[in-house]
Amino acid sequence: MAIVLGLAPVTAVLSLLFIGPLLVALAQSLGHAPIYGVEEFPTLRYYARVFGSSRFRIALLYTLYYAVVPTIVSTVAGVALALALRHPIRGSRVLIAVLRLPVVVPYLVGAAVVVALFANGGLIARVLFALGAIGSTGDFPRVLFSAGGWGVMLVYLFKQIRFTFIVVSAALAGDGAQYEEVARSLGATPVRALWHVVLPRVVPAIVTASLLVFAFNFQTYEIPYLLGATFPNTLPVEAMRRFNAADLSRRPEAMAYLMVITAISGVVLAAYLQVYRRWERGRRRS
Amino acid sequence: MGAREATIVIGTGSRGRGFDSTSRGVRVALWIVFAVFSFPFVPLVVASFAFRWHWPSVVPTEWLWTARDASTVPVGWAYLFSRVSQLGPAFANTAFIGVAVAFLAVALALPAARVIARYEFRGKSFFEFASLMPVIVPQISIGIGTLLLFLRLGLVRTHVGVILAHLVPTLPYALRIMTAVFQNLDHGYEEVAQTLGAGRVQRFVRVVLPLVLPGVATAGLFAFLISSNVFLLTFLVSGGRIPTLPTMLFSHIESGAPLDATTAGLVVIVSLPGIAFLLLTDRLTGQRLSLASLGSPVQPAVGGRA
Amino acid sequence: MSSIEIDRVSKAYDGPLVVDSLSLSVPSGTVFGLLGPSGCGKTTTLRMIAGLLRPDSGDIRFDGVSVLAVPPERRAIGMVFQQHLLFPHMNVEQNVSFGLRMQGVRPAASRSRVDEALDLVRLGGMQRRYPAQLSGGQQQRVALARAVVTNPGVLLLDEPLSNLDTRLREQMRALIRSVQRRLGITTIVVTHDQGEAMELSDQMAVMFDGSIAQVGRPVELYARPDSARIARFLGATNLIPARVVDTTAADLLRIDTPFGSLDVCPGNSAPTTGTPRVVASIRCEHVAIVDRHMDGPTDSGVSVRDGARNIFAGVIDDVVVGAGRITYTIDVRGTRITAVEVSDAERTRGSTVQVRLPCDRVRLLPFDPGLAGA
Repeated sequence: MAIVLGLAPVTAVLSLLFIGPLLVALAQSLGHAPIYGVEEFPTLRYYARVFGSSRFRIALLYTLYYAVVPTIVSTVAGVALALALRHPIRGSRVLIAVLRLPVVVPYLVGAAVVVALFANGGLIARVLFALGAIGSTGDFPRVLFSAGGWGVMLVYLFKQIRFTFIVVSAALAGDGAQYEEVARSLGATPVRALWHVVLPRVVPAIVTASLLVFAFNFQTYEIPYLLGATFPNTLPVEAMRRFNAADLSRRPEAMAYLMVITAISGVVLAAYLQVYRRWERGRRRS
Repeated sequence: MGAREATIVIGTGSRGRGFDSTSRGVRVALWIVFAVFSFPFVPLVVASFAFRWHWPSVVPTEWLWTARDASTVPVGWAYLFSRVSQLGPAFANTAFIGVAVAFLAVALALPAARVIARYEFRGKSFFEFASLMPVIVPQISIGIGTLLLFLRLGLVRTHVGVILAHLVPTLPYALRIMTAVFQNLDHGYEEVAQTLGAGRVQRFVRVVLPLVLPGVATAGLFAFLISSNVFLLTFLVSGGRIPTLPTMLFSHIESGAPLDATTAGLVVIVSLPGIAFLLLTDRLTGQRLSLASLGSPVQPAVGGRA
Repeated sequence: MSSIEIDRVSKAYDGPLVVDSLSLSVPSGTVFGLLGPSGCGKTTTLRMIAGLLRPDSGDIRFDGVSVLAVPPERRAIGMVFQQHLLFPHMNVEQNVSFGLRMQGVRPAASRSRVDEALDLVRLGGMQRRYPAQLSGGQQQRVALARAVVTNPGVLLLDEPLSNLDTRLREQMRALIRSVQRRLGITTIVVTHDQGEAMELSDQMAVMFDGSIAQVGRPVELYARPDSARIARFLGATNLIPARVVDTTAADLLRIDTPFGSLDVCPGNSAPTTGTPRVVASIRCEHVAIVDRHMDGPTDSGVSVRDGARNIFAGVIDDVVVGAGRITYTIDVRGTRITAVEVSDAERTRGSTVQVRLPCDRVRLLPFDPGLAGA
């Protein structure tokens, strides 16, 4: 009884505000949207339209590309940074304080920073001009609004390298140094101690961090909208475009987009977890 | 024997310094990283004080304080603090919504956290896993779904609607942090209080609450921080009628030029809740809880019951 | 002060019974020790008395009145836990006055009672300290003061000394004893340490596997255990498998052991099952080592008709020197007998000695397949 009473508030609120909206979107994607004059429930027509369009396939590829590349880069860089800073050095407190700040500000701050630095009239271009490396704004490589998505990915990295660093550092803290010392006293070289003793203990943290990073990158709207190309762009941008279309009867298609985004994100994350668990089991057995 | 002694000496000496204390090369590299990583905010702080900053100048062409009287259209800080800008309402909205979300999230999550930390019951791991889903499920799906739902419920363009929408990304974190807090609380304290004659309410008010308060405050601050950072949910549910700091920054980035003074000033203001959070949580709990809690939400999902 | 009766109480968590139809009665104002190995159900019993656990069946009465329906906070008990569990956010005075505040005693009135309680545990003047600023022994003393300041009818102590080091334990034992005498409070102390139980208790019970094996005064239990398991649990003893061969003599009982026949004074047998197979128990400190030709029955202090009886030759196999006492393992025709001498004269290993087992110190216990061979 106490258990039911304790869990009831959270369950009720999340059912209404989390599951409820998803069900509404699902119903619309299946053709139940009488407000827009669409009432053909249940139909898979809108899903067929989504999967049939080449725009969707291109958007999917770009979404994966914008999500995976920063995930890999921030994981490698964040872990390297955490390992480098695992023993305190002079001034590392200041260093860590500075590294932490961007994690607790909105991604939009990162967007503003990237724009200020990497726009064609931005600060880096000006420095290069002053150095004589470029002659005009047009000579500066296009970082923002390009299909390459460099601007988008830079914003992600702005926060995510630090985020990974913090999560992995937290896992390294505590009695980690002692294990490393034991390994060293048993004759392990620093590198071997790192590889066999330090890293394995933080693998769960690395997986957690990269999973959260990927989950975010895959679904975020405002950054690719602001800094990505008009076309091609990511699935969330395409979905929002359809949702905001003047023709409201296109909304069920937007909902189908949302459901597909949710499903793909879920499948990728589940597959990643599955691979990790299999690896973990294998490690335990050996 | 000699080798053994050496090992022991190294072992005891290493506590403070570390026997492979970070090498000089790594240290230099770290300071370069530091320089690069702390650099990005500097141009924006400078830009926020610029009146004009023409291409290709590396420093502002004209500063705010020299040009203030000459201009008819205020820019940068002058604009932000003028009556024309929406900074006042945006700041108030962000603060009001954030405080409301923090209190609601803590109040809703506290009983559940207590139950999860204390009892074993069927479906517990499923509940813990399911309660983390809002962090993983794409925000745009939740956001647009919420908008459609709230259209029917008449909650669109209301503060209540925005607050309710913000509960979805904040509750999982609040629940997670407070579960950890209750797990660290020794049940024995309540038993002692009970043997000393304290009833249910007295036990909670005098013993449990004071002991969990720092953790609860951390959960509340974290909820406030997330709420003050949320863009998309606010953007969708507010229908543009309730400006907050992130939505205001969004429209300035969307329309402003690079090194725009107003956008730059706004970046500084938008960063304030984060700075306040870092200062407060360090004071409150030492940095470990606040840092670790950032990464913890999917830990059970990852750690798994393989 | 309340008397306590426990009437056929049983408790299971998620499977087998942890406490199995247990009955006890503790007279008002006495100290009762509940002794047993870990997992025997003694703490569960104590927590049921406190009201922190509900028995599955049976009844618990204070002064003859059932308290099953009374929540812990209204049972008028004081309890000291294994961990001191001082509230970390309150100072010593606030901790000790907590129970008084719960009773609605005004702060002004409670102050003098807190001071008294702290004086009782010799911690006067520590009122403003916080738990983290106290040593382990001080913390446990504050916990004791906190438990007794409300003048509870019952004091429950759950392994109160187990987190203290040896020296502090002795001090704390004496303190508990003096506080209990001063207040005359009915006390139940749960412990796995037989020395602690014996020193603290007026009456004690040995508990195995959820049931009480034997109840009695500590000296009784030590000298006249009912089973080999109890005998061993209460202190070092030699357990020798034996067979009763002659019960005809009125004044002596003769038993056969692996190393020869042994005479036993009558009236020192546990209620046996009636079979001839038994276990003979003799405490290590009662085994007398005599030099070859010495023949005085002086060691036991009881005059025995035939001093030469129960003397066996053996070889010292092992010597362990302790503080003021030396423990010898002696091989007596293949059976290892442990003897403890209060002495500082060390006998050498390998030397041949005579071992005397005073007939009034040998107790016959029911045969126990689990222990006899050990």
